[in-house]
Amino acid sequence: MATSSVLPLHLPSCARRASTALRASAAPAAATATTAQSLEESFGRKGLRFVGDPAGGAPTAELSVRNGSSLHLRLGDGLVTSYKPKVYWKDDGCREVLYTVAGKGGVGLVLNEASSSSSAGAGIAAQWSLVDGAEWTVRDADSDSYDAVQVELGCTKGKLDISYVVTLYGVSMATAVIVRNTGTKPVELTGAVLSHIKFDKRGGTAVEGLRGCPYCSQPPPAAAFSLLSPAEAMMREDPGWFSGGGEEPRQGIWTVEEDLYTVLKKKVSRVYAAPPEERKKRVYSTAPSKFTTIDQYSGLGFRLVRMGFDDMYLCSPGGMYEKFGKDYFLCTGMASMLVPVVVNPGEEWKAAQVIEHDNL
Amino acid sequence: MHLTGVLGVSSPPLAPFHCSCSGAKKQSCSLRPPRQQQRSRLRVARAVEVGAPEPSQVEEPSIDFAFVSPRLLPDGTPDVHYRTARGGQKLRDIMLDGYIDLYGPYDKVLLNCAGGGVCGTCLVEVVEGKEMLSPKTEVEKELLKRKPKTWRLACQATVGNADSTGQMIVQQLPEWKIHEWDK
Repeated sequence: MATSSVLPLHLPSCARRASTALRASAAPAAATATTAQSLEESFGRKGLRFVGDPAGGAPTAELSVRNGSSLHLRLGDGLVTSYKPKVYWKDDGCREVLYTVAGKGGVGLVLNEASSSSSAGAGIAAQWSLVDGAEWTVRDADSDSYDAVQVELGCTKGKLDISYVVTLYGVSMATAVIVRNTGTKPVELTGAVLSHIKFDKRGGTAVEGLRGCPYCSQPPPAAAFSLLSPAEAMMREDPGWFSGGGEEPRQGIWTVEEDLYTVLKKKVSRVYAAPPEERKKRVYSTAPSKFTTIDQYSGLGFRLVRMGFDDMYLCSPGGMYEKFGKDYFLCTGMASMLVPVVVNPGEEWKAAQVIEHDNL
Repeated sequence: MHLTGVLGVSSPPLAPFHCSCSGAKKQSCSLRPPRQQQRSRLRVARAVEVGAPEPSQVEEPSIDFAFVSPRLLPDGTPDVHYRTARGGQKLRDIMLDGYIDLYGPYDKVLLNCAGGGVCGTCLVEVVEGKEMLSPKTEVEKELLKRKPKTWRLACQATVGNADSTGQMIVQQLPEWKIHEWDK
């Protein structure tokens, strides 16, 4: 078996790994199994089913756990199109967290390879995506039948072996990316996991936990699934009648977040991180490892935890949300986009984002 | 000199994925109390002493801190934040200036004594570097009589003086932590 499903995230029970390892190794070259039925036969288990797309597109994996939470993962491009955790005790109690419209949105992975030109100080000359249009194949699946299900997708781009692991737990979901460099030259990557999270109303949307963290305006990494393109995200909005607050800082200028709650009514596109010049120092103040999104109207909060990534990207569409639907949303996620990550030959880079909640 | 070797980590303070959590099952989600009573142990590698910074002529002397959160990250690695500050201040001031969670649930307006030394809520556990802190005051000895010896009150402990250098590892909210420190 090429890769085991043991990754930074350990399923609560390790006992089942032996039996699933046997079953997975019995299914050779899963790359050819692209129909929902064949995937179901090789990887289907309690809590994981594969559903074909009626429109003829790629199948979708539906993960579910005992308490009713579920997650839908589109296998063609590895986009998580739906995440419905159980957030209320009464009745069904599951509520959709992600915002997906017309096949875009949700939680997706952006991974770019950056090439810095050899002349000194030229910075990043070109970036090209490693995952746009990639063929994701299901490499492995694991579950403990009650409270955790995990699916691993993989693709190989040149000399890089990329695994994308999506795990569903009772009150959280995790997306992890592992990049292995099987070539002979070091590779520089920038990556992000962008999540589009739904909120009830524009006025009651805020993020907590970023106080003291420096931020600057930055366009998001370009992604096929994101709702706002980088140019749209950076467009400044008219202040309207009550502009309130200060101007959004220009790109490249770092300011420190002072409020405990960052209210996101206006249109912003920011990266919260320790500034790259700071990182060159011997010891620098690290950015917070998690923040919580707050929705005043539904009273729910979801915590996003950053592991392995360096920056946190936060974008609110402001008035532009009306183009997509009547719900407000935030495009946010963990990223390593300011300073490229170097993966040397033979090494791997792991990073993950966890969305969890304590609303129960 | 980065704080390499802290907590058994061998990479710069960016991606502590190779934590040597020997023993027990790793906890998955965070704020829920752990289902099993097993605790993971964190090892403090001795490499920290070797990498002690020489005070360079250009930068002013400062003390480096590694603050460890009581909850591990969802994959079992410790949640550490690094800060650097001049010596001579109280540990509480350093933590609040750096927006480190010192009080936990007692962070609100009237729930702590804000440095008065009477409430006993600003508990921290000093894992490494206790020689840099001022000795325990009478107030601390009284309030921490039944607590482990490594615990201090951040509002009563002064860290070195203005030109001292060194490194400290501080565990925030020791009453809430779910891991143990191996010495």
